[in-house]
Amino acid sequence: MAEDTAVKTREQTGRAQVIRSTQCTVEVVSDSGEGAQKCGQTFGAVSAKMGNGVWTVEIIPAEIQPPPRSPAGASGNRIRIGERVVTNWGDRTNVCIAFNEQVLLARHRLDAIEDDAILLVENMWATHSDEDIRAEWTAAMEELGGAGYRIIEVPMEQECLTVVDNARKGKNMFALGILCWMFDRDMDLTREQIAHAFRKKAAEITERNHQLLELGYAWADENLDVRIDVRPGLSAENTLVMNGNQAAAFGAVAAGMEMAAMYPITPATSVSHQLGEIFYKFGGIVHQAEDEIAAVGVAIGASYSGKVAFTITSGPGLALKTEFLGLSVMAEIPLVVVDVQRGGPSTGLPTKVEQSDLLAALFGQPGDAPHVVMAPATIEECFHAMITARRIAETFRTLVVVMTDANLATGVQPFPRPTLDPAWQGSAPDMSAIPEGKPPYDWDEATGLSRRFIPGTPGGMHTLTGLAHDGNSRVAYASAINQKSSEMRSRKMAVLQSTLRPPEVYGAESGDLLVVGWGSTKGAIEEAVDRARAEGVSVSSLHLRFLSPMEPGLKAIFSRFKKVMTVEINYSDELDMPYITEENRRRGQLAWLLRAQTLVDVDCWTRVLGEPLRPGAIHDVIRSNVSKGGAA
Amino acid sequence: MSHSMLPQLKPKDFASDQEVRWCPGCGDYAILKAIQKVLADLEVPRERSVFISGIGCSSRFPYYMATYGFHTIHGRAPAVATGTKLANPELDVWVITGDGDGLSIGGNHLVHALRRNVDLNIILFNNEIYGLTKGQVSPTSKRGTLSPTTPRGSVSNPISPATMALGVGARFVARSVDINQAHLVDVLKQAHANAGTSFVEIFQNCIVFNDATFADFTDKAVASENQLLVEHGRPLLFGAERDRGLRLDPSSWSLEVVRPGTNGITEADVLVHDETNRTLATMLAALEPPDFPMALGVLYRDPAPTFDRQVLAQVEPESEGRGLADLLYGGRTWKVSGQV
Ligand code: SF4
Repeated sequence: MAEDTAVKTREQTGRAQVIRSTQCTVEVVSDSGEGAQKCGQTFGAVSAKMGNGVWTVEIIPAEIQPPPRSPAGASGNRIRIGERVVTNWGDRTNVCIAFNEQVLLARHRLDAIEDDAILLVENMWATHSDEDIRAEWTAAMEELGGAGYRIIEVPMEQECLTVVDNARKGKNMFALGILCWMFDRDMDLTREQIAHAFRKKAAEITERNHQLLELGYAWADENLDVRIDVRPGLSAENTLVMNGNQAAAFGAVAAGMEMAAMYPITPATSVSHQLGEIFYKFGGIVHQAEDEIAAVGVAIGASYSGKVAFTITSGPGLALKTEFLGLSVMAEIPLVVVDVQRGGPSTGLPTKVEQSDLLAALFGQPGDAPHVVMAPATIEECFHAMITARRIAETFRTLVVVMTDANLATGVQPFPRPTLDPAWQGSAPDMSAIPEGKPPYDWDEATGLSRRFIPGTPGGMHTLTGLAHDGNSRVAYASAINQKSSEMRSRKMAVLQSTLRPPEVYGAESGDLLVVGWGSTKGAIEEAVDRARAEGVSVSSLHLRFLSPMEPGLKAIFSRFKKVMTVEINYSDELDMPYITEENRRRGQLAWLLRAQTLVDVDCWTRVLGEPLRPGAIHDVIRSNVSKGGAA
Repeated sequence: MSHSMLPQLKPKDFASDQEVRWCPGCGDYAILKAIQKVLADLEVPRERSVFISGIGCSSRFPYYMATYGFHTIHGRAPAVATGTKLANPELDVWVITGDGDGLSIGGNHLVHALRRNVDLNIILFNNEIYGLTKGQVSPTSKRGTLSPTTPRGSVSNPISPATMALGVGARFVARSVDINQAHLVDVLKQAHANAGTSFVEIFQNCIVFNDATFADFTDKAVASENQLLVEHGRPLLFGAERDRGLRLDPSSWSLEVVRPGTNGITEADVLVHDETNRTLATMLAALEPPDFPMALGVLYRDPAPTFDRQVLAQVEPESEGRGLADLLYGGRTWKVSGQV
């Protein structure tokens, strides 16, 4: 209910005041291991199934086993729900339910809580036998008390102990009951969702969780006097609810992929977990290799002998795979790589979102290695990107890097069911006998395309190589050969580019400011643009799905705006920083590319806060850039 | 395959039209010849054989074969080969590697291919030196090796490839020598016949950068004295007169060289080779001149289910009518109860 977007009205029905709003952001936070994630996920799933727009973001502690009751240990979920489609995590939370005051304090200190938020906090700590804990409680409540929140103490422990012996294992479902009452959630759906979430556990666990849910609901009904009404305004029929990693996994199946070779790495691994559950039913193999390099090597080996293979990784893994990526380009072996970006460089921020791999994905391979880089912008697009990537990889005998990020990977959103098309699965590789004398790189002069020879195919015996080679795959000892084969590989990118459509401008086709983004920031950017346009600011945005080759027509679009800037989750210098000048300023990675590609003076605004961009922050940037920049 | 229907293939049918570019006198030529003979003798259809290599002199090998081949990147051939075999288990997949490629930069991949028992023939040309990059020490170089990067002598201990392979769980470990063509062909045929990772270390002379490094057991003058050609079920005897043998010294749990007929020792005291005995194989692999002979032949063979077959057995080839639509829309759909 950020004041600038949510339309809200209040009315009194019976005892409880009902706040009607077009959207609302909720957080559930606890120590890790207390199940706040499950509470938040269930609330999000139920809301989606009721027909609300939903976007969820995981709140992940910095450590695997942080000490209990520490701000660094805050773990849980943010769930933003709306009457209509929700495209991003929003700005600050309107409701927060916390299992101790320290994790609540963590959110407060991160400026994650709206000024008028309703905070529900477990109050067992106020009267805890440990004096230090009581003191911490008092200090925290004082700090929070100064902020103007509406704080409601909830005796979670005491209530849960009426149902379970260990309240630590039950508070999450009790909290879910409270949220269900506050948001008037469909309780049958909620019970169903709980049963599904615990389907692998004993039946009495579901039973007990249902009891806790009812208990929380009843407690809220008895004790709370405020409810929030965010009406489900969407059809929940024909909708899927999942995160971006699941969408990529299902997309891989829909695309007819047959092998996922991987090495565990956060935040990419769960793609393979999802595949592990289903892939074998479709003839697919999940191969956990001995390292990141082997993972891509196995995928290349499988693709070489005719299977549709891909590998999944994140920044550090992408770095390790580089040499093999060059081989895939050089030997023209189709390969799809999914890079679920996290903060970097080096180990960086393993669980947090960033868009800092773009230039590495494009240029990381030493030597000239033209290949395709795509970036889905939504969870739904994570599904479809796999299908597109497969098709491009095979048609062009090339490497396709699909860049998602931790925000898409773990965010959950409902999206329309795709209508599955058998054509997505492609056709079996051509293994008909190869006519005598046909070379393994029989490049079409105009397009650089050629048929690939798969081992087992009669007549096609030859040796592929990572060495420079001619059309016969013979090692190039003459200088003209390398020039020619480089040209053929590069040509394929131009041919692909010629099939792409110019990107659509969101908002007016011309104006004062054009914001350009890529990847997971689309929802936040467009929400910010909407807010600014509602205030009369002349701003539009544009979102790129192809980073290599780039979608056509950019220069023409840019020329219709007084100013063009990118908004990205990677690092850039700002001109008011010491030593930074126009000349030495390091810019956002997309800005860097666009400047090179279009010769337009593209500015940028970027942040690497380890969280998705907030639409409110982008909105501020738009306003300041239009008042001081283009429109002045 | 019906042999009678196939035209009889000759070794030269497995030779590609590419000019072989190893140094004159390099041991690699003999290995190339042996493998071409093995494939011809076995009548393997050329399109079904794939030679995958990394980087180094040995890794040039696939160019010279009229089969499928893939000259990949340094050290990673076992990973590519694993993918190739998983994708099409009907292929006959060979990995050609060297001591630098397989044990230094690619050690990790070799270890994991071996412990998984992927159905590959991994042929490691051991010349105890980096040839292609002009003579640096390799992980099998003897201590004290003088090279451009170790001008005052290498102080690193060498890896014993066969011992390492046994240590990580390889199910087939054999050794041969470039200059013993008959033995080489025989060992390679046995490697090919074995299902699972067949690891063959070939002592290969690099005439340019490490000439005669194996002379202490390959020189004609000493070969019969210093080579122990092991055979399953046969006593571990060696020497031109087969007058020496190996016995287990129970006091030190190690092998010792004995002469039957002297000091009351009889041939019955000499160990009989049991290729399924990993402990014995490990002891044999560790022997080296001058105190011991170099053990050659199939040191260890104890087949086990292969990785590729086991992985593929877990995969349902057809989706049993359960399409993705069922999965996506099946149990996870929901009805909308009036709120729309
Ligand atoms: S450098 Fe040595 S190993 Fe390489 S080709 Fe020449 S002789 Fe053979």
